[in-house]
Amino acid sequence: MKETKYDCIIVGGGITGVGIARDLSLRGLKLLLVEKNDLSEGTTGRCHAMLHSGARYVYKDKEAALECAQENKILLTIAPHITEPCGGYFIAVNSEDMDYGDIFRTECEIAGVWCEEINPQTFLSKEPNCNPHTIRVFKVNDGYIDPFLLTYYNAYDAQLHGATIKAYTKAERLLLDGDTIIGIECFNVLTKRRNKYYTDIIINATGPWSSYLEKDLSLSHPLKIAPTMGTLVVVKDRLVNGLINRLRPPGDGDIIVPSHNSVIVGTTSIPVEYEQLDTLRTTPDEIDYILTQGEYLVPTLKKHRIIRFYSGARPLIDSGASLREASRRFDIIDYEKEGYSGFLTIIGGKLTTYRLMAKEISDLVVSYLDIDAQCSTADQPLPGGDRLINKERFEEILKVDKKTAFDMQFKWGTFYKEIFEMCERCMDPFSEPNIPQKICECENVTEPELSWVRERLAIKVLDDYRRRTRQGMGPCQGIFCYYKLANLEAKHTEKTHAQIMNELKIALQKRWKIQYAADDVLKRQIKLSKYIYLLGGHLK
Amino acid sequence: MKENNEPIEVSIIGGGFSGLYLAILLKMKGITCEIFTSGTGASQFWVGTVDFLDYRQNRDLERSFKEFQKEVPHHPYSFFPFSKIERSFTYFFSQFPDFKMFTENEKLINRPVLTSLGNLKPCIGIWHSIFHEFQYLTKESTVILVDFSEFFNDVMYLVAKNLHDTFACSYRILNLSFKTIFDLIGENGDEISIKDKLSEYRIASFFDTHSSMATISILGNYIKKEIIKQFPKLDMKHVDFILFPPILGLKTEKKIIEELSKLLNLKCKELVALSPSLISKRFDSELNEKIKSLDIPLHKNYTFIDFNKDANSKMWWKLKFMNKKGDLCNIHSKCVVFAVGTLFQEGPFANVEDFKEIFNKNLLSIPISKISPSYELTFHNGQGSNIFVAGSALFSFIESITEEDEIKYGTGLGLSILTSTQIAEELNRLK
Ligand SMILES: Cc1cc2nc3c(=O)[nH]c(=O)nc-3n(C[C@H](O)[C@H](O)[C@H](O)COP(=O)(O)OP(=O)(O)OC[C@H]3O[C@@H](n4cnc5c(N)ncnc54)[C@H](O)[C@@H]3O)c2cc1C
Ligand SMILES: Cc1cc2nc3c(=O)[nH]c(=O)nc-3n(C[C@H](O)[C@H](O)[C@H](O)COP(=O)(O)OP(=O)(O)OC[C@H]3O[C@@H](n4cnc5c(N)ncnc54)[C@H](O)[C@@H]3O)c2cc1C
Repeated sequence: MKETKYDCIIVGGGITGVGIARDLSLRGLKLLLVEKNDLSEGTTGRCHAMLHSGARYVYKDKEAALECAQENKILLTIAPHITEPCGGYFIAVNSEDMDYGDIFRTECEIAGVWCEEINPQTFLSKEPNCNPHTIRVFKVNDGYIDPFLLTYYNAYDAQLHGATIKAYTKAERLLLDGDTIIGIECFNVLTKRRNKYYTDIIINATGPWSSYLEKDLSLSHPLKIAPTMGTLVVVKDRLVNGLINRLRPPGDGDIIVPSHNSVIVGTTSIPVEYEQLDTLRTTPDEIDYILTQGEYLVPTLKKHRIIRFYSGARPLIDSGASLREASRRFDIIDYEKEGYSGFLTIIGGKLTTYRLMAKEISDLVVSYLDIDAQCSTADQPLPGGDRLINKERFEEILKVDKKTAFDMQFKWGTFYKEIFEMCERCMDPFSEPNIPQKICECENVTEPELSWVRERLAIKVLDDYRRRTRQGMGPCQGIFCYYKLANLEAKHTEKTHAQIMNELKIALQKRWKIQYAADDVLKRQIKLSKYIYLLGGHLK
Repeated sequence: MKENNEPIEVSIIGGGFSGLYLAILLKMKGITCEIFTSGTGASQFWVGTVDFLDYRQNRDLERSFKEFQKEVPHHPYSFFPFSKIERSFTYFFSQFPDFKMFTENEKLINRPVLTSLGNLKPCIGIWHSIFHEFQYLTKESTVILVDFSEFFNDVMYLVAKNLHDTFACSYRILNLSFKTIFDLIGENGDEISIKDKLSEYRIASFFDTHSSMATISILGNYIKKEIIKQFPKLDMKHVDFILFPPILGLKTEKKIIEELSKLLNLKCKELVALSPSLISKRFDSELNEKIKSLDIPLHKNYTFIDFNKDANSKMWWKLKFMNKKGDLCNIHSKCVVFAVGTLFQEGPFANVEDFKEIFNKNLLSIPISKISPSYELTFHNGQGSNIFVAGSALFSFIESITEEDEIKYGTGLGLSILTSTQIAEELNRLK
């Protein structure tokens, strides 16, 4: 059998990797992307879901700030279905913050980032849950973005343009021919098989894990990554309509982002070791600290239930400077300088600027391969994003309730048509036409949506549904929907019962693992879940 | 409720299965008691089996139990001689004929039932209607599983897949619709739904009020017709069972299932429920009816918050409760039984620090390293306190039992039955 050779292989299925995959496949390259877990399961899926306006970076890094401002506009037009231009505010709650206001305004002007001072009273009428002692407010263009679907739509488009995407495939070893990198050996964690893939160029887009692939090379300047962990706490109820930032140089616990029916509060910055990256542990103290800081923005924050929390790692390059000051811009490392050809690492940046990062490295790739192909990602809408489909339309076509329609409008865009067809298909043939069955009551996820992602967005195991649909992300921690999901998996796939039980166990254990740091209410919830599945259902 | 200075003989805190069963046992021995309970408990989620050592497939329970006693000596089970265990269970099953006890040569055994996830779980008894006759399944058998299109809480495909994987039998999923059933019976489905969705509880109550022979035969004919329509090639000779989700009534499921079996000439059975389960409602209402007929006072929405030695009599306890409105009230009691479960504990039990504090100030140390065989708490000086702990609540009181042990080693109705029996005997002895 002849080995297939790819024009380019990308390692890492976070937003950076899939962004590159899309860019290059739109330029006509034949490529492969490998990701060791599910796409977006790394830093991308653990971020704050914030579509930066750039305002947060004006003080420290004007270049990055301007990039954010520009990419923000582009993403709102190419991905209207998974972004929300809800706007953001920088608010001052004490005199120190108040004084920073003047600097903030000047810095925004210099950076070219839009901001406008507004009356605190006007602000409070729009954001009644925010601190009544707010004394100064600037409005900015921050927005919300779904980091998961952003990743899946990029990957889906790449696939539509011929790319091969392999999730649950870990790149283990670079294959070298002298000083030239010619391919990569991978391990499929589901089938437990090893395979070799060949190519001219490998792009290492593994975020905080970037130094791993360098192990096969002897380098005079190996990458020095100083990962810092950031924690985010998801609190029940959509307490704010726009993003709320503290008016001060970036610090801990000073942003609140509205996301579906909850808010995400964060974050922190704690140095961690490479060995900890796969098992980042949030501490109860950190959660309390974040919420205490968050209370300056929304005073009633602690009265609301914590739904979950998670930590991600920023892949900062150790430059000796203080950690938060390390550049927010990104780096492209070409190993040609070290005497190896065919290997590039891209690291840093932000979710908001992924497209620009992908463009820059893709330009480099096509020039290496001597191909004349332009980047088209700035005006090619992402799949489903041709135009905005509002919630009324979802209500009308899919016959779902208002709450479900509200959630759907941030997910499917013009795919509503396919989901509608799915609707008719998932109805049992002998029952009358009906409204789609809601499988996850907390996050309003219906059966046709689950069927659609199964067919279109490459589901491998049960846990994959969650990131694509938000199934199981709500207050009940998936207690009352995972068994229904497992039942649908039994109905629609060839998987054996034992296989499904194994996947169910892994998915639930991921939900349960936060129990050690949970508060009493969340602990009890997780314990009930264990009773239901382990005792009632005898899941072993 | 009026405050009363006359002490109650025994106050039971917690109205889950443990508390209710204990009250019944006490009353039958002529001991007066009252129950105070705050709300939901694990008992409202119970799915229909009586578990005892459910991690052991081994059918020889006596041997398993001896091994278990060595393995987990601090477990609340470990104080029982096996003969006593058999006696307690046999008595329980004799009191509640709606259960079926699993025995072989008159010895208690573990037998598997299908759980709601399709797994096989060993248990010593089940609610009567649940399917357990696996010995009749062969390669040639076919099982029909009923999937009601408006009932979202069933998992027929999952169950069917494991039946097929384990017993190599074939299966068919029969799609039925409640809407059609209501139409056939001439009922308006709207009243049974909440916000466009049929409520499980209301469906079950619907069957309770429509269990006449005429209605059951309409249902039977509908099922017959649908089987022919949906599986035209199926040879009914090979069909052994037809399995329903457990929603055919809260009281009349026995009758409906029997009559349907006759009409269809097929064995009809129910599957174990999903949570929160309707089977638990059936047993709960049976217990409650017994409590009522025995005239045992049951105070709902009373949350225990604190207790002290009674100033009037050193022998009594003064218990403090809060009702739903936030009003406080005091009760005097000679003996107290905590049957507050582990999952839905309210008041001081919801927080470890509060919990420790109120017991320690009464010279009772919590959590304890070892409980006495009568489940009575002792003072620091080793004397009995007249305070007992029953059922799954024991796991919160015993230090060395972790949450993993709790789930792994079979907390369940078995523990409720055994501990309540033991405490009732002890209180009888003290009387
Ligand atoms: C707490 C926090 C909050 C943030 N909030 C925001 C925000 O609100 N807005 C914003 O714009 N940005 C935010 N960021 C930044 C943003 O999340 C990251 O810049 C972005 O997600 C990085 O994507 P990536 O693809 O480079 O890395 P990752 O998403 O980490 O992707 C790397 C992938 O490589 C995979 N991988 C690793 N090793 C291998 C291997 N050997 N083989 C195969 N695959 C491998 C990993 O599993 C992982 O999926 C935040 C970051 C943090 C830490
Ligand atoms: C999903 C699930 C499925 C299960 N399936 C099975 C099964 O199939 N077979 C089996 O054998 N077992 C099963 N079990 C376990 C079984 O249901 C429990 O072990 C049993 O019901 C425990 O009963 P209990 O009375 O000890 O506790 P609970 O039922 O929890 O009762 C405790 C009661 O105390 C009350 N209470 C709490 N705090 C206070 C207070 N401060 N003041 C007053 N009242 C208070 C609560 O409101 C509650 O009513 C299952 C459990 C769950 C959760």
